[in-house]
Amino acid sequence: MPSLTDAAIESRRDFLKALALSVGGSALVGCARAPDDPIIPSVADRAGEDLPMFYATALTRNGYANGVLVKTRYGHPIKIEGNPSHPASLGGTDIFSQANIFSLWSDERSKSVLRRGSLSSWPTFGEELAARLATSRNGSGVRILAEPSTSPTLQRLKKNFLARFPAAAWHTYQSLSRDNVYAGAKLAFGEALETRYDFTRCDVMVALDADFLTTLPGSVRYAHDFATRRTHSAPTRVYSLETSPNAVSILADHRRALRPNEIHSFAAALLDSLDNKATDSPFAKWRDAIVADLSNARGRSIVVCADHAPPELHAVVHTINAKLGNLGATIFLAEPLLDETDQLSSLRTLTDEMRAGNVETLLVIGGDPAYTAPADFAFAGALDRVAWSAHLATENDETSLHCDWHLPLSQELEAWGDARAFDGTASVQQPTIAPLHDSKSGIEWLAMALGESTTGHDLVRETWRSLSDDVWKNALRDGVVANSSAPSRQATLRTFDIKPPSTSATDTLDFVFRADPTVGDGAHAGNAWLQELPKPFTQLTWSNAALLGPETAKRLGIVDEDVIRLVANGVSVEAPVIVQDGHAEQCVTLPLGYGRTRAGGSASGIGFDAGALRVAERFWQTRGTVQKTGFVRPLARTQRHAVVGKDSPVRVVAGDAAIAPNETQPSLFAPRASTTGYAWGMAINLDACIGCNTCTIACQSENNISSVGRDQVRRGRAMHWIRIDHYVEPAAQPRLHAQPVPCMHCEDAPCELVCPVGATVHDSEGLNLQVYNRCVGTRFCSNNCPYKVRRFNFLQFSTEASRDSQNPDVTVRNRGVMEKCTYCIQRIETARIETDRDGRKLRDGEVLTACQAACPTSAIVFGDINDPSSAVSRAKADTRNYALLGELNTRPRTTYLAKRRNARTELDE
Amino acid sequence: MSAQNVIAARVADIAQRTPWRTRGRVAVWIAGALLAALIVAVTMLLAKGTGIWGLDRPVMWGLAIANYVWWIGMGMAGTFISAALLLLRQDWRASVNRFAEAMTVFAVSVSGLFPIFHLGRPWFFYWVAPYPNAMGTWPQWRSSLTWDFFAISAYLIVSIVYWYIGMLPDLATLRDAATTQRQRYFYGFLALGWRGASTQWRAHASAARLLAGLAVPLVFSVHTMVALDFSQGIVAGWHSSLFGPFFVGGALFSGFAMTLVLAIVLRRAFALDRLITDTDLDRLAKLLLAVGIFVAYCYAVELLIPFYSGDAQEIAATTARFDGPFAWLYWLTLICNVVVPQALWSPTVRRNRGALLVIGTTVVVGMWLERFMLIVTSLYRSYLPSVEGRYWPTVWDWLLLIGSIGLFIAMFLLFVRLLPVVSVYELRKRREQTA
Amino acid sequence: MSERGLLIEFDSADALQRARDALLEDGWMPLDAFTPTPPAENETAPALYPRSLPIAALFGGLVGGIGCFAMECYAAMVGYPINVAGRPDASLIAFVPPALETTLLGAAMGVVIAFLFAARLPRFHHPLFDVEDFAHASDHRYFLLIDAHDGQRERLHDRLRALRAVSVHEVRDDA
Repeated sequence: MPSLTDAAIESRRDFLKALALSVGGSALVGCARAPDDPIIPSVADRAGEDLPMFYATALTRNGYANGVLVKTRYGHPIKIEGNPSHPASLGGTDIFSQANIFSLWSDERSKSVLRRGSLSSWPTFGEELAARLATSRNGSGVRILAEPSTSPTLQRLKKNFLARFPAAAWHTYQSLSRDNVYAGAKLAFGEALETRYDFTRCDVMVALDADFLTTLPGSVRYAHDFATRRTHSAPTRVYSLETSPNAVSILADHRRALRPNEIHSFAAALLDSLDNKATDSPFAKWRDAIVADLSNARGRSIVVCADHAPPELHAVVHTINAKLGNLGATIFLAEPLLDETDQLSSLRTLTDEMRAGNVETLLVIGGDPAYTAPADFAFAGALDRVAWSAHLATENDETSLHCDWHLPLSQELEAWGDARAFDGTASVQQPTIAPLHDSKSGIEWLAMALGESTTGHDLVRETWRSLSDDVWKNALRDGVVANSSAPSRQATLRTFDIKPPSTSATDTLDFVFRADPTVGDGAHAGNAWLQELPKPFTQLTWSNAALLGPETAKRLGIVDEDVIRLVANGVSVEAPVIVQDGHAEQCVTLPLGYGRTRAGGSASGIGFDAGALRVAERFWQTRGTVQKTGFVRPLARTQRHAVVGKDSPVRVVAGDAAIAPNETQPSLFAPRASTTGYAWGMAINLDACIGCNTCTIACQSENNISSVGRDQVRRGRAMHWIRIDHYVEPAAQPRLHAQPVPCMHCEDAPCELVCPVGATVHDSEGLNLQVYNRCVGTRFCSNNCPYKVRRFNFLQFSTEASRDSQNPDVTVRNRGVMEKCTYCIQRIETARIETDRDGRKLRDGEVLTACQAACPTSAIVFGDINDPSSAVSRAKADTRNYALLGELNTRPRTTYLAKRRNARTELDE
Repeated sequence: MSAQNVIAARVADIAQRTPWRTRGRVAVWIAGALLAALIVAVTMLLAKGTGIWGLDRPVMWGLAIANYVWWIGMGMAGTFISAALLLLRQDWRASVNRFAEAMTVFAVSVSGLFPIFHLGRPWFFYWVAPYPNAMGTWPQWRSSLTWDFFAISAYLIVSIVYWYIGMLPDLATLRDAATTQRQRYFYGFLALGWRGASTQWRAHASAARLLAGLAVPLVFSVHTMVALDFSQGIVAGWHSSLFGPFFVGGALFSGFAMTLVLAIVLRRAFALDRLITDTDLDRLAKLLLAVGIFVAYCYAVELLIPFYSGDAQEIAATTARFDGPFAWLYWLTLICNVVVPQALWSPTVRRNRGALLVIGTTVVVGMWLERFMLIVTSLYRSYLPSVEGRYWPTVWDWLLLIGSIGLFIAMFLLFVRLLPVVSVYELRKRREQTA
Repeated sequence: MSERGLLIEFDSADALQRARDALLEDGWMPLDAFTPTPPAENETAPALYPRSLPIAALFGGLVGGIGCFAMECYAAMVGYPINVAGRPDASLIAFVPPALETTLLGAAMGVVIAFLFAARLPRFHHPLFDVEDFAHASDHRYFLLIDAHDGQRERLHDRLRALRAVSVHEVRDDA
């Protein structure tokens, strides 16, 4: 018989349940509700306990799946972790996965169905659509424009749709296309093929402007493999030839800035040299060094170029790899995973038809083609000529403006779906929350067009009907469909003409279009976390900038923040400049994704639209002229000064050389007795850090860190608890370094000494605590922190609006208090409660800090330094271990492992 | 009417009877306007937070702290002139000590506002004080900010008490000269029933001397604490044992300059030529010059130490002052505080009130620049090359500074109108002795 | 000390001085002098100064300094011992500065309290204030209070005239 208290609890539960129902029933926006169909958590159900739940699912980036675990609390998805059992993740994540939480809860998402700007409803839309399809005679004049996808369900429905409406056509477009990859394979092998790499068995890597660590499909996995390979004793050698620095440049033993055409010629020269065809090359020394290294690593090397490289370059690279015996050893070919291999032609066909008035009904699923389509297509104008158009999108954006209907698109965390990873492994995407707004997913919408009233769950289940219920449940639990990876296959190399890249007039510069490191092609523009994430090297936030080499800038008389006029293809665009060390000369990098007009409140009208200069014929690269305008546009950058000399905070050793330990310095006081319990510490391996920023954004998500906006960042008030410092070491080819800087948790913390109210003190496990309640905000602690890792709430930065996405285990800080990295104390405490209940000690690796968990290269190790066998203790015992600013005698708990550089001396001369 | 009578009558007139003339009214309007600016600045600050200022990371301290040091520095001279000169039996102090002490009290009061408003959560400033509380928390005794809290509190209390006790006989004079009942009550209450009995005079003299003896080490310690607010930090550019004497010297320097300025203004405004004589101004000017030389010496030592220590960070911080983005601040400080005061070597300049006023004002401004320079040039760069900020005050920073000047002027005007501006009994004594 | 007597008014410090000496010789008991300026140096022999003030300063200083230091030790070592910057709980050196300030503050407070006692202040009502001319005691007149009553006024009249007294007033205890 339940006691009185139990009864009271019961009745209260009932009351809350009723309350929840009434709230859910009233269709209030913003209220969390569980998805209707059964979802499976990744660990055994612990219903009834107030504990976070983890659900395995996949998030797509440019169509390819990244496996993740979604942490929910009280039914709210609040954090993304990597899925260790997913081949594209192995536990790591990237910034886009992490930022998904913000996108889900963003207040700037589209919330309702709009018909020519006024409120409408799904049923009304459904009726209109059904009527149009019915009168279209087998779908003539009906077109669908979607983004490229790997989803089996979408492809099944697409097939169904085209079978039902044979006269209709399906088009695909995404501005960061992989067309050149497929075209290159076609050139080399006669058919479009997917390429994937195995970096674990690779000794020599040559990246031709290819950021395989953060931009390729599968880059999270590649970063993981790359870092794993570096932990082996046998040294690797990495070459990076690039127009502008990228993640590979940081760990490259040799990097060199080259213009795109020079990279192309360089690859051709490599191939000639491998063929023993001696040619003259301005880069003979580099060519010979690389060829020597590659020749010694046949079958154990990778030459890689970027997705955006011209097809010829892809073909050359395939040929080089084939000659080196890398195909089938470190490089694998497979059938294309995307449903379209020539998107640009697909879009061109559609646009031509639209302009000719042949398109009567157009359904656009996702994307923002009115913004991202090549400028010469004038897509928006063509869209206006379509009799009836509808756009399904998460934001009421540029394309929606030109469509009759705008329909809210469900976010990936709230809809059923499926997707394949870079290696073909399929994942079922399960929602972790019912749609927050009146939205549908792409497949639900397609089913609606087909007149089916099936739920998303049933649509996906139907695709995978061959799976038994048990296998299905396992797939949901694990986040992968077992044994679903795409087999690699053989292909025979064909001979093809290597066209030398056209030489160009000298009065023009190369304009290079690139995805912006944080907002991509603009798809993430509405995400404040990504907007505020400092872009690697430039540390720029909330804008893009034209990147120039120092010599070119000097010649043109341009300095940072100057506005230049870029003229190409008959169009001119004005852009602020950042002069970047290590950038190729005579060449301008133009990041896409900015200058949007309808990207939601804070993202509209910032930066410049590089896409306006982009035409289909010269999609990734064009030529043009640059003029100084005399105007200046201030940029919000989080780091000003980047050049370091001998006293660089990032230490580099040759090979496995040891680092000289700091002298122990005299102290007036005897050190406090060391504790016997846990002693938390962290080691950051600079030899694994690729500067990808995933730690920063994971920390932001975990610790409820506010975004402060462009103006506040400009004033130096960004709040990230772990930042990545970027440094340039001057040399003929500047060397680039990245260094994550969280709180050092100094044993003799300078910040603690000066706090008058004891708001920052030490705990018995060595954590440097910040007691928000006690903090009065003198800010002396920040002045006295030599690492400057403390962040101050100058204004009321945290808002009620972000409450839904917040981690309930972490205090939200109000204005006037200092905050900083806590080593994720809430995670330590959660784990401690677990182990206390079981009466045991914490095992090494049981507590992962958010930054550590997210890091794709496992550069961050955290644990108990009192336990000599822990990973962190072993890292700290490494001869490369050093304390940042150790000479100050702060005795930091966070230490660094020096970078290794395996240089060829002749290239440094 | 005797000579003594003239002094008392003049002082009583200023305090009790003289109606505001145009100039006085203008002064009141200016003070009122500035005070309104202060109220607006503080209201905005409390409503929004310190983010309305130009602060950033790494420059977490800015104008407010510069203002604080500036004000408390000016306060120091008042105590010093009054107390040290009393102990040294320098009778000429009688003409300036009263308003110098008042200046101390007002400057310290104004300065105390800045550390409070500068806090992220000003309403919790009292957490720095030790008091029994439910949480069982205490201040953190190792922090120089805690030390400074004790120092300012002690200094404020002692300087008020010293000022007030010294004023008692004159308050009795005003009480007895009062023409209205309200004044009689007001001054009667403040005079505590002073009768001028010989026993009272002896106790008074004893108390004055003892308080003076305590005030001198107190002001020195207070300014050392203020210096420790900086030098306890490991910030390159702050972390120096020079800072104690450097700040004491700087405080005296700005304080003497301010005293000089006020003396000239008061003398002009209230025709006190016979009370504040040219010789008094000349002596003040000589003092100013002497302290100025000490301050210049400190600047030189401050340059020497980093190079002598060989510490790369300290050297970098120092050279960044010469040619960094805030170099103009450094050189302007040197011009105001080292170059301009050298004019005081000339007796002609020391006898020229206009020149003294200009030099005094230059030094007061220069010392403000010095504090601002010390804070900003030390903070804008740090140990890691990645950390570099730019700080420039916003309109709200400036409003608070301007407003604080308004508060000071307002308090001073009230003082002038209500209390004896010069020490009547001491001047009488001086006259008696010279007669 | 009695607060009754005859209050004799003079217009200079010298007159007061001479009269005091003369009356003392005559066998009158001068009770106190009231002057607008501090008494002359020769009357301020160290022996005449109240001793209580320096003693109070010492005492106040000791209470302030030791009290503060003890409080700091208690707070940091017993009441709220916590690891701050790796420094020992008993960071005695760091406890000195606040204790120094409270020493000076305590001493000053001691002086003030002792001064008020020695000067018998505050006292807003005093029989002397009933004498109308006494208002000039803070301005330009010098007063001597002697132990005498109204009946003795006649006896003194001539003597006082010789001593250049301005006038004579009777001071009575408040009835």
